[in-house]
Amino acid sequence: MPTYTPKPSVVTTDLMDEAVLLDLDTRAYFSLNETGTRVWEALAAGRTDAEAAGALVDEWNVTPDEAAATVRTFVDDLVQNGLLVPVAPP
Amino acid sequence: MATSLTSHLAFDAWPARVRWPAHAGARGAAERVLAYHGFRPSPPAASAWRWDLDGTPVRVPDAATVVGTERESRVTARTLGDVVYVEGPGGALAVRREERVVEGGFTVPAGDGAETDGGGAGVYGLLTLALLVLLEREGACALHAAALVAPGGAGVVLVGASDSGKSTMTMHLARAGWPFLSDDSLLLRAGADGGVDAAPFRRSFGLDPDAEAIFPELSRARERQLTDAHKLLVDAERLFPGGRAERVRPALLLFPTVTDAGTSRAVALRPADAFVRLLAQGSFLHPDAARAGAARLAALARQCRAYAFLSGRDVHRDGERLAHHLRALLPDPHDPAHAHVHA
Repeated sequence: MPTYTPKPSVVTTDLMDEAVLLDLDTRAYFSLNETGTRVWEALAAGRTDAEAAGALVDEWNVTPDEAAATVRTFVDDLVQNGLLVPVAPP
Repeated sequence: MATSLTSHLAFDAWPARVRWPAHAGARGAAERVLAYHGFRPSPPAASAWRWDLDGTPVRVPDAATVVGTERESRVTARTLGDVVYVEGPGGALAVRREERVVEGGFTVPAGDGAETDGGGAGVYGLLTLALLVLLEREGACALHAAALVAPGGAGVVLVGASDSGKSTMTMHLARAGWPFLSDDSLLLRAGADGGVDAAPFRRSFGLDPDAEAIFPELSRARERQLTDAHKLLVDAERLFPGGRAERVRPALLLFPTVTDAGTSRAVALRPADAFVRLLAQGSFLHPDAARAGAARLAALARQCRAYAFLSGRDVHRDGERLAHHLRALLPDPHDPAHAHVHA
């Protein structure tokens, strides 16, 4: 299962259950809603995408498939925008 | 000739030792730009900063990365290691942050009134960006915003791009007797208690020329144009003697937009929304300062109530009504949720 790490230039700011990601290299910034913030926190803490999806199932009333699809799309977005970097397995 | 500058910003004094260019036009231009931001010549003093402007532009290394531009000129800031280079049509400066030294030079174009008007937008942008790099190094963060002090002492900050109505609102509220900091540019810095305070970073007000129809008194306070030729620059302290406040603790953030609606409306913003809007109007140059600046803007979003303010025709010409609207949005000083703002 892949894990990820935030790009070192990304600053995460938490404001009342919502996070804003600021990339100091590009000066671009991204708002995350409550769900996105939860997934970002899990991935940034070194959890796998499956574990992040599991957290969504526990906390929100969604099926495991829905949670997995949500996390996959979100992770693709984060990687494409250069905010999150896949970690190669040891 | 040795000259130095002392800030009359209310934060700490930021004195500087200056070797100005020998050319009188360039010297006049530099002094005028710095005075515009609140710095004035003073007797030589113990120095934190050194401005060593010998007239020769520095060479900017190709490897330097672009980190910002001054919005009213074609001046670009680039960084390599600890040095920030600012470069425009008129010259190039290197700001060595750790040593607190600015060196390099610029030329003032002949025949454009440069000796009195600050040398045009190019010199304005060069010196403004160099000054911001030094201020960032001292922990300040620039914000494109106006600020005033509401009755009771709470700071009201109006954040927005040009033409969002900041200057007109500032004029109305200053006329209503609210002390003002700036109509356009602020410096944010941490107070002793960890809260964020604001100070002015532009002394003059800049208004649309048609604002004279609302504020006829503008005609007696005109100043020579420094940057944006479309704005009417006026001496705020001549309009409102003693009306300047040098520092305030913000409690209310407003993001104004001018609308044609009959009635003004305020829409509450979540802190994350306010923070994103603040980022759009904040200014960070060196990456180390950007990290600290973002933290400062987040702290500001946390300590204030925030609203998008859609200003309607009811307030465009009625300062008392505007003041009434804003007083209703201020946090209750007795509300424990906002107690730290007034600590």
